[in-house]
Amino acid sequence: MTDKEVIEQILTGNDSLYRQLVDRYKQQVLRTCYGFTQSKVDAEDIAQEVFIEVFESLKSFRHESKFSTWIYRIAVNKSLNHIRKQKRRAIMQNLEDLLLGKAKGNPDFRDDGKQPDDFTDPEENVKRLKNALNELPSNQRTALALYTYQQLSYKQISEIMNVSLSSVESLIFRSKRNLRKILVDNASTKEGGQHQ
Amino acid sequence: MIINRKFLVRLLSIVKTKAMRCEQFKHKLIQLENVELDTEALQHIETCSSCKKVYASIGASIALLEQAATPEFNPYFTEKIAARLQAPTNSNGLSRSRGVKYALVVSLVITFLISGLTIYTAYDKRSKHAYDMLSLNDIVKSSVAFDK
Repeated sequence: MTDKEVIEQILTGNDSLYRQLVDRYKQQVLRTCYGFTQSKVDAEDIAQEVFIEVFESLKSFRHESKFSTWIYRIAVNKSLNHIRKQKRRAIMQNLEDLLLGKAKGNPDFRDDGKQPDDFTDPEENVKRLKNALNELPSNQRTALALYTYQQLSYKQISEIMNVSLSSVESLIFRSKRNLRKILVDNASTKEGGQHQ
Repeated sequence: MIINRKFLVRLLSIVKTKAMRCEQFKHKLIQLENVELDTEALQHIETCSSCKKVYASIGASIALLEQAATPEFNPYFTEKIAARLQAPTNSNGLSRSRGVKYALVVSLVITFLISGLTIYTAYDKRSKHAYDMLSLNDIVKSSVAFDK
């Protein structure tokens, strides 16, 4: 059964077929969300929201683009919204702590006996990469996540992001360079005292 | 004295070249397409421990990205979606409490700003009066001659 046929069946009332669609696309959606969040829990939460929104708006899907492109777009938008909300929540939390005088230890700076310059610790490396990805502009981040975590072609990325092929090429090039710059700057800041 | 001066000049030049090399190294690291270094850069990290750490850090993070390693996701993901689609939505209460929390923080910030401004202006006015009174006192304190 093609995607179109499954969707038509669901729209006629056969809701149980939606499981087929979820099984078909869950890995792609989860990987896309993980590419943005670098967190398994967050990726699963966002992916759930994606599939619920897809189910609720199946009626409005007009088959003008591929179903996969549409679902990727929703996953990208949800992931970007999640990151924005997370940033806003962090600001609010800081304000709340400041006003209420909470001396709660920031989980990022909790003493867990690990050294920040321990480059063999996979958790530290993930955290470092996550922080650097967070600093990238959203369009560069989207292109990079789709390119690396989904290994989509430039053409597919251009369809999802609604931009030209040359723009995708330039976005990926700039995102890689910017990411390296952010990583170098962050690592140099930590090494600040000794660096000249 | 001459030796000292020569020594200082030499020391300064060493420091300058090391600083340049670190900057050049960082620049090279940003420009690299892959994380492989040329011989000059390799020689530099042999002598500079901080650049060596930076290089190790970048290498580990880029490798993570290139592997695009994703963890094992929940095998019951589809079942969770199915359960959520069947269950009635129950997120209203949660979002409402979050909204109340945000409103509380925003109102606290505004109250804090307004009270701060009020205290500041009141203090400012009072200090002006205090200055005026002080000048009046000064006049009273000056000696007065009485005629008998």
